[in-house]
Amino acid sequence: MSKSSDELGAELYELWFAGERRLPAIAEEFATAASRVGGSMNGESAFWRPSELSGPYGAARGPWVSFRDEVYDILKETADNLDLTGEALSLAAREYAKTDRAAAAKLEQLKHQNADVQILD
Amino acid sequence: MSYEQLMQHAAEIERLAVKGALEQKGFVYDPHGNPHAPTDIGEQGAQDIIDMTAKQFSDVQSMFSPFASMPDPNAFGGMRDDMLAAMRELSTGQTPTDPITGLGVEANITLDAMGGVGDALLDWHGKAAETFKLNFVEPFDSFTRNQFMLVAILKGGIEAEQEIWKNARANADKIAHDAITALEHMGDCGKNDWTMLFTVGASVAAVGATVVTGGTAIIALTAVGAASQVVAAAAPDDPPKTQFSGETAEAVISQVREALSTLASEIRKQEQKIASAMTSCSSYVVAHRSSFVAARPTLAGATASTVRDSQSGLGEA
Repeated sequence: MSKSSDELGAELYELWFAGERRLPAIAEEFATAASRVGGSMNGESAFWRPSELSGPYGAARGPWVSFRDEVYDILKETADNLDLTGEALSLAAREYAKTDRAAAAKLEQLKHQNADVQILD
Repeated sequence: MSYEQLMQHAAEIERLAVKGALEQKGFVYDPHGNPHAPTDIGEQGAQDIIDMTAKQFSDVQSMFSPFASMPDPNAFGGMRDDMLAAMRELSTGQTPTDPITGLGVEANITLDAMGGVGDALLDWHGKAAETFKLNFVEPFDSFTRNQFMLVAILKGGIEAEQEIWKNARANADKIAHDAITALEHMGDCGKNDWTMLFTVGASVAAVGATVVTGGTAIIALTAVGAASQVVAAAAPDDPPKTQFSGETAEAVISQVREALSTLASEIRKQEQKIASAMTSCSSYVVAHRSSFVAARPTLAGATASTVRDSQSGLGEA
């Protein structure tokens, strides 16, 4: 049995909410994590010491920085994937809505009705 | 006595060494701190001996100088806090715990919103929707937990570095303190000896940080942390202990030189432990990147013309 327009509208709303609200919120957490990890480069001068003590930066700094950069890339890539997938779900909701006027109306009604709903509700 | 006064202590060591060496050559110091030679060597002869003795110990301050500019453990605090802040962002599950220190990290409930994303896609069966659910939504917690572990390993490395310099500064200070005491007591009865415990040599401890690979396999990466903070670590090395003794100023200064050399060597060894752990973890992550970040979903590249497609989109409504 095919879906009613109301059912489709409700599903499109869930897609839209996931794409417009949930995924960007999650992506932001990863972007913030990436930013904090990457931002640590501002403190790297803490490793400085005189040449007699394996200066200027010692044995640990290079490998730590390389690993830090790798972890930064992983977090940034995760944030980007989440953002782009969110955009795709939001786009999908709009594109499917174009195929069913009643479903589109239901989608808009739910968006309006649930304007205050939080991502974890 | 404190580390910040290390160069003042070095100057005092030099002064005491010269004084001790001159006294051993028969010089007597008056209450104002001026040396007076035995009467039979003449004024010029006395001055030559004083100059030669001063020259003999003129490198004492330069011996200490590099150790007076060691990294400040507190200067690593910003980097450490950055890592902890990132861990809080990535903290999932019921009782997320820092694998290095065992401390709890408050869970980030925003990440729970991924459950709602999965629910929104339940009725969509296009190939891109299915693979997104399978490769991204379902293993989301595992990916996030693994990423949390990587940041925890970075934090452990910084905390280990902090511990090295905290101990190194205390050890340098103690070397100076012991030298002053030894020089002040050279003329006393009994053996003039002292023991130096190089606590810096037990600064870094190894600890396992587990990550999930291939769905269920658990791999323990070798991480490091500050020995005073780690949990479930392999037994840390005993800090090297050296017995020193010296009955002359020359002998005491020679022992100080040896102690400073040992200190530099122990710092190098401890930093190498951090370097090895970071290199090893980094190599593992590069070789097993798919355990730490999901492949870019096909959906992420969807366009208006493909997003409803049964292969590259969500499929039939």
